[in-house]
Amino acid sequence: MTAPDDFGPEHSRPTAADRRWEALAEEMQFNQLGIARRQAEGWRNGLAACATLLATATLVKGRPDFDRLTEGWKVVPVVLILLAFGCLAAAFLVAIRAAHGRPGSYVLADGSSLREWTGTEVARIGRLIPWAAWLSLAGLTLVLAAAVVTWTAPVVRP
Amino acid sequence: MTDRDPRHDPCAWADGTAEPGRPDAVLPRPDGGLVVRAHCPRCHGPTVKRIPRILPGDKGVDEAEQPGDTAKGAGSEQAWVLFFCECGRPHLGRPPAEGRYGCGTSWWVSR
Repeated sequence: MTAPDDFGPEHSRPTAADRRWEALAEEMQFNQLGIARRQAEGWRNGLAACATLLATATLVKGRPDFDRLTEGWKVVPVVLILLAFGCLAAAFLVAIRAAHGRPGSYVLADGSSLREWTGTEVARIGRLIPWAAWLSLAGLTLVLAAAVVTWTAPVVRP
Repeated sequence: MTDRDPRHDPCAWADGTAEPGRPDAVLPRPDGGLVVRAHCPRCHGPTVKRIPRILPGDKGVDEAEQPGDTAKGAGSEQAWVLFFCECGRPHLGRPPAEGRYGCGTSWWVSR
């Protein structure tokens, strides 16, 4: 927590904004159960969507039979799919973190702490959203690449 | 209701601010929060502020503000708490809708 303003506490009196932050922090004390429930709901919905998308990704496949690929190429689609799963799962977790916060940690219920936390959290969300977008794009690209490899890689002739 | 504290000034209620002050005491709470006690610079009545740890906002918390860090207080970095006078003593002119029982003064207290 920092001093209440840029001029130092010895020159500071509470402003209207300071009072408003304090009132907000005080009000939050009476909404803790609702806040915790909404955060839990957000994570539950996000994780359910994540599981659904990952299950859907397994349906996007190329040639149904990897056994026909030549020895060196058999491992390529598997690696690509595993990387895609990792990217998509990470993208979901980052997006859920940005949208619903990280459960299990707290802040002091006073206006200064809340104001500082809000500034930090807003900046963090701004950094997380591009990460989620790039990870999603990478994951989908890897899924597509895995499908393409299964169709275009050399196969063993009977 | 009578005012038996000789230090207390039963001044009229006024929505005002005062210069920053120091706490009488800062105690840790079992939940990692704080209890801060200070005297109002205007009416000199005591106010005790209980600051629990809460989930901030309706969506999320800050990993930089861990429970162990929140109660460090002035030891590492000067921290300030906004106080509203809640001396609980009578002050003429206090609006009926005013939720705080004090003289109406707010001020910063270091912790």
